Formats: sequence, C-alpha cells, structure tokens
Amino acid sequence: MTGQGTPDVPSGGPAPSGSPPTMRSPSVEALQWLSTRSGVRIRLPAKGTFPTVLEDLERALGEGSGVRGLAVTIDAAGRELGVPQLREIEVLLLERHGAALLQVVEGQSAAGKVGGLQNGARGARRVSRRTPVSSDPVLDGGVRNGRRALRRPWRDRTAPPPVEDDPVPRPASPAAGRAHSAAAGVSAGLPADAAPTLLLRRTLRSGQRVRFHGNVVVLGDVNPGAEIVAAGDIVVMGTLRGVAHAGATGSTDAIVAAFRLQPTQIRVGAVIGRAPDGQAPRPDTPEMARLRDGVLVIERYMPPAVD
Amino acid sequence: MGEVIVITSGKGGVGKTTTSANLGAALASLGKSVVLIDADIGLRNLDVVMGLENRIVYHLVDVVEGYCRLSQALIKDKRFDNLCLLPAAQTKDKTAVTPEQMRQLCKELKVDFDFVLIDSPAGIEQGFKNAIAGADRALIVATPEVSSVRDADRIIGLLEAESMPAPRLIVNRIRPAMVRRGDMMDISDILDILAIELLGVVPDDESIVVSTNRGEPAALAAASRAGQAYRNIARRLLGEDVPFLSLGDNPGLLFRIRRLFGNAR
Ligand SMILES: Nc1ncnc2c1ncn2[C@@H]1O[C@H](COP(=O)(O)OP(=O)(O)O)[C@@H](O)[C@H]1O
Ligand SMILES: [Mg+2]
Repeated sequence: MTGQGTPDVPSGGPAPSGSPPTMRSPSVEALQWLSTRSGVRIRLPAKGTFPTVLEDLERALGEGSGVRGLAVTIDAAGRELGVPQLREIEVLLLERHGAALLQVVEGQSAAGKVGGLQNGARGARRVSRRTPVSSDPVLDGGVRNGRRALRRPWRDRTAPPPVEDDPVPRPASPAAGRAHSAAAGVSAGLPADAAPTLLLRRTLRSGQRVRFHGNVVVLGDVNPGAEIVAAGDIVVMGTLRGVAHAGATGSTDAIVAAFRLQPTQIRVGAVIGRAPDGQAPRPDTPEMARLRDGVLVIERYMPPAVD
Repeated sequence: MGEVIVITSGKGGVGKTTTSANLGAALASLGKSVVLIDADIGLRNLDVVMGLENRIVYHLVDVVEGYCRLSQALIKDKRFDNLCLLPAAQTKDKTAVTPEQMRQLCKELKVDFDFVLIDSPAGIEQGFKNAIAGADRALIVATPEVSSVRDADRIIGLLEAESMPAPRLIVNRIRPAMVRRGDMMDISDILDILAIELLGVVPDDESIVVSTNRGEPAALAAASRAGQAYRNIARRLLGEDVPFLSLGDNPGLLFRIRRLFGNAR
C-alpha cells in the first residue's frame, strides 16, 4: 500500500517494496503547464526534493508566456506541501511574476492541452482612487450615511495586529523593486494608486484564497468560503459574499468596494466587521466599506463627479 | 465514442447515487447504451438502488487489479439490455484504485457505450479524484441548503482547474411549499452563487424512497414526479429543449427558472 504522500504509479499489483517504480510515465516526472478554462494550472513534478521542484517551477515561470496578474492553481501531484513550502511557492509567484496563488490541488489530472493562457496574460493595472464618498459615520446599530439608512448593524471589533506567521507575501528582491516600494507605500498609508493591482477575471469559489501585496480587483463574484487578503484596496465587480481583508499590512485607509456587498466578514487594517446574524441583507446598489475614526462603515458608492 | 459523465457534489447524502441510477435508467429507456460505475469504493450502494446486488460476482477493484476481465464484471440490468453496472468493491478502500486506472477504464468503456455515468463518493479526497479522473464532463448535484451549495461551489472551483467544460447543475429535493414560505433556498438563490447552467430540478418525493427500497429506479415509474424530472434531465442531456417542470401548484417557479436559465453564466 502506498502512503498518501507518494504519487500514484500505475502498477499491476504489489511491487516488491523498496524497489524504485519503473512504470512511471514521463508526464509524472516533468512539471506541466496546463491552460484551463479559468486560468493556469501548474503541475509540479511528482519526484524530487522540494528545492529542485521550486527550481523547476522558477524555470518554467521564466520560460512560460507569463502569469502576471493571473491566479495560478498548483497541482501538487500527490505531494504533501507544508505551510512553509506553500509560502515559498506563493512568494515566488508574487515576487518574481506578479501572480497570485489561488489554490493547491493534490490531484492527478489528465494531461491537458499545453498552450497559451486562455485568460491572456495581463499586466498589473493601476486603478486610481478619487471616488468621493459621503462621510457620515456609522451609528451603532442604526447605520446610516448621507442618503439613506443602511440596513446593517455592523459589528466591529479590533483585530489582533496582522499575524506575524501568516503575512501577506511581499516582494523582497531587487528585481521587483518597484512593486516592493509600492507595497511598502500601502502599508505606510500612501495612496493606493501607487500600489500594484492584481486583476482577477474570474469568480473566486469556496475554498479559494488570494493574497496580494497591492490592490485586488475581481471581475466576478467572491463566493461564501472564498477569501481575499490584500495590502491595499479590494474592488469586486460582482457580489462579495466571502471574506475580504483590505489594508492587511496595517493600512487604515484601505477600502473594500463591491457591486453588491454581502460579505461574511470584512476586515480593514486591524478592524473586523462581520455580517449580522440571521438573514443576510441584500443591498441593491454598489457599496464600499472603510474605516472612519477607527469604525468600520459601509457607504453607498458614489461615482466620481464629472467636471 | 461515448461520453463519460461524473455525478458529484462534495456533500454526502444529497442524491448522487439516486441521480446516477435514475439518469442511467432514463437514458437506457430512451435507447442509449449506458454503463453505471459505482466509484464509491467501500460504501457501495448503486447496486442496491438498481436492485442488482444479488448479481454481483466481480467488482471495479477486481478489474483494475486484473483478477477478471472488464466484461466479466459488468452486470446487465434486469429491465434493459443496454444498461450495465460496474459495482464498487465493498471491502476495499478508495486507495485501491488510482486516477490513472480510472482514466484507462473509462477510455475502454466509452468505446462500447453511449454514456458512462460515474457515481462519485462524497468529499474532495482520493475517491473524488478517482471519480473525476476519466470524466469528460461533470454534473453537480446540490440540495437547497447552504452547506450543500457551499460544497458544490468548492467542487466547481476544483473542476475549473481540470480540462473539462463547465459542469451543469441538478437541484435535488426541492420542496415548493417551503420555497414559497421562504423557508428554503429557491433556485435563483442557488444559481446566483454557483453561476453554472441548470440542467434540472428534482422535487423531494416519497416515490424516491419507495423505489430505492424496491431497487426500481423512479425514472421508470410513469406516475413519479421525481421520475418525470429525471426523464426530462435525460432528454436535456441528449440535447433536447425540455421545459422545466412546474413544481406543484406554483406556476411562478417555472417562469423564474426559465429566466434564470437564460441568465446563468
Ligand atoms: N428527490 C428525492 N426525494 C426524496 N428522497 C430523496 C431524493 N433524492 C434522494 N433521496 C434520499 O436521500 C438519501 C440519500 O440519497 P443518495 O442518492 O444515496 O445520496 P448520495 O449518493 O449523494 O450520498 C437516500 O435515502 C435517498 O432515497
Ligand atoms: Mg452515494
């Protein structure tokens, strides 16, 4: 019986223990780059030590058609990856290639078509943030802003400071110097439009999690059970039902905006707001969440005035 | 060359086995050749639902381990000549089969059958990976409950990373009266989140329990509402444009489903 951590090898019965598997197909050996309906899936080689796997991954990313701005699924090919190893992969993707680690699957997938990226590689884009918002603070329990009462008694509480052992990965190499300083800018409270932006053209589904050192824009929904953690702002051009943490490195002027804001939980900086218990409210207009005097408020999103 | 379809859900007890049995029977009654694979190794029950338990000699693990030929393990249905079952092993566990072996098996079966339907186990572990390995497409079964929809969403996310077309959705065990009272998620709530194409809606129906116990798929009972829903799903699978059932005395639901069907991304 093979253990969980070893790859599945086609076998015609019990092999003599200790002998190296001989029927391995080449596809199991090599790293594979698959283009799927929703982006890129990279399958790690099933054999080899983790450092060599990381090298392979680095080489493939360097040669590939680019993953910048994409959400990458890593297929661990039966390998058990620990948290530190996942972090190394995540940092490699972000730091050198501007891509986010979306999820890790441990399955064995059919060798799919190897080819160009269906989503198209997209560079980090800038979104400027000059949106005027009305600015009445939230009243406890009976939240309102300039135009209308908001339905949500948002419960605030102050989060513990950003967890040290689970930081948002940040570029550190000189090669990514610009992104690095931008990320530093976000945590230092500089304008969010100086930070890099990750554009995700997809819906994030339950169990998927994206962390990014700049802003994140989602062209799709963020479903319950999905999570976005960003050093900068989070903008969802769909319905946000999952968890969004903006300003995760401490920035208190970060915002979370969504076409429909129905999150399970929103965090801005160190403040956590959760949805009221019971029936979730259903806004019928775009909204944004931000901190005002340390309190998390939800406001109607006002389009910028034309002048 | 036939098509391999996996029936999966994430959550257990939502109707994967019921759906596999009824779709298989409905497709066979429409003249298609169908093989059902019970991929829930260690917890087999598709054979019981089909009423074929007493005919089992060999099972899936015997085939992949080479103890018998594939043709020896296929059990012919008692109602249709063009319907077969490849039963699961009751005694082995899910690690007895690898995804590669499942792929090979599906490849062989779809040469001889129009449809290969795979009844997936619950969960997202090895058994699930085996079940989807050889599939060309997937049907997701969900009940109108938050936990079921959440699990379905997770599965859809995992399937997106596979090279297969977007899965389609079957909502099972809907109770129109509860939906009307606002005590149950309605179809639009579910489609809002999952955003995949709706293939069918099956009502919660006592006839399923009766037929399951008798080993006679409800799809073959003319009077069964759930059976009718499964017959419609089978025809939709074959590309027919079949209007959705009006469930109970609620004319509004039909309209709503139609509208959402068109909007589903
Ligand atoms: N539409 C339905 N109406 C009533 N009972 C149902 C329906 N669908 C499934 N059931 C019952 O629910 C239980 C679980 O169904 P099953 O198909 O075994 O689920 P799964 O294979 O997903 O675990 C069974 O007892 C079955 O008879
Ligand atoms: Mg079952």
